[in-house]
Amino acid sequence: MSVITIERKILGKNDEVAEQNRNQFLQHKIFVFNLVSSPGSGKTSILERTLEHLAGTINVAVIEGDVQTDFDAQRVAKYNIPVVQIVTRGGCHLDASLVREALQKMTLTGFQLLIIENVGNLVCPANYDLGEALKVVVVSTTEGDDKPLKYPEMFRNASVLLINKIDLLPYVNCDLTVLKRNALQINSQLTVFETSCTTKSGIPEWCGWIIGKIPAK
Amino acid sequence: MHEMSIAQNILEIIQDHIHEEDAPNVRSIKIRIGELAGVVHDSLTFCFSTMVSGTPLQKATLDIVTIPVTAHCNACGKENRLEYGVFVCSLCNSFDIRIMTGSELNVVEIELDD
Repeated sequence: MSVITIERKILGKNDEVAEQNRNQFLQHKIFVFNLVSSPGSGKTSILERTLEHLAGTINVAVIEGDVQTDFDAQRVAKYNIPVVQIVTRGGCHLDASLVREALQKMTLTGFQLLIIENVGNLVCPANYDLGEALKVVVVSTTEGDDKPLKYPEMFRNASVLLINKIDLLPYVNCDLTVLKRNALQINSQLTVFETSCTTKSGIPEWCGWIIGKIPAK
Repeated sequence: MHEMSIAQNILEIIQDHIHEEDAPNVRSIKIRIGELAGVVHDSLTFCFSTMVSGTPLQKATLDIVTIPVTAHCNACGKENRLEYGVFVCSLCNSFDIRIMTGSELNVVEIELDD
């Protein structure tokens, strides 16, 4: 019997491509975040409200990831911004190579912000670095206040938590204090915003945070 | 179900490290998976066996070593093991911790029959 010692990261290839993407973003001085959540938390609605609010201030581009359909890209394209849809055809997450392919279909020159909306899934996207500066995780009040405890990796890997559908609090079984406590217990460094895409509450604060992250040219 | 894509990556790493003619001799692949890596071991084993079935690597199995989550506590200065999903120092209850292990997802070695 013989043994070949390897010691290689299984997702090393993804990490390499992610690093190339990251270098490209740095060169273009573009702030990139990876928007993650379970299906139906309101990622695309947050994207829409964000694009509305940021209109006329900075130039935004979007990469949309979905298992099937380009419905989200159609929604985003209405805001007259460049959007590339990645359809994973069953794949449960975006990876760095898919993002690299999408980048070849768009130009980053003149843009200050790129938002990558991941496939709705709180498990797999946590493992795949896309080259983004940080992850923004969305959890909605309709999902219950125990979500962070059920999916600790994602909340641990994220830098920002958006608690969405805050307007529905009176109607759902979700204790906001408990939800925040659960999230901060997993990751005490999380920056938290409470948002509603219906009333638009919290959207200005969230967009203010984004503006603060845009690198000076 | 990203276990399929992880199995695919393991397969590529094996192919990068062995000569084609050695493939039928690969007995096992030792991999290290941290508790925080979010990988379901049974699922990965199943995906891998499906992938190698009917190929020269069909004898190869995965030998998975689980790595627990450990952290260095900045408050009490001690290293300690964390319970899965609880990011609090188990000795002094501080949240001010730095994760040391538990995120691993590595191929360690390949064992071949001579």
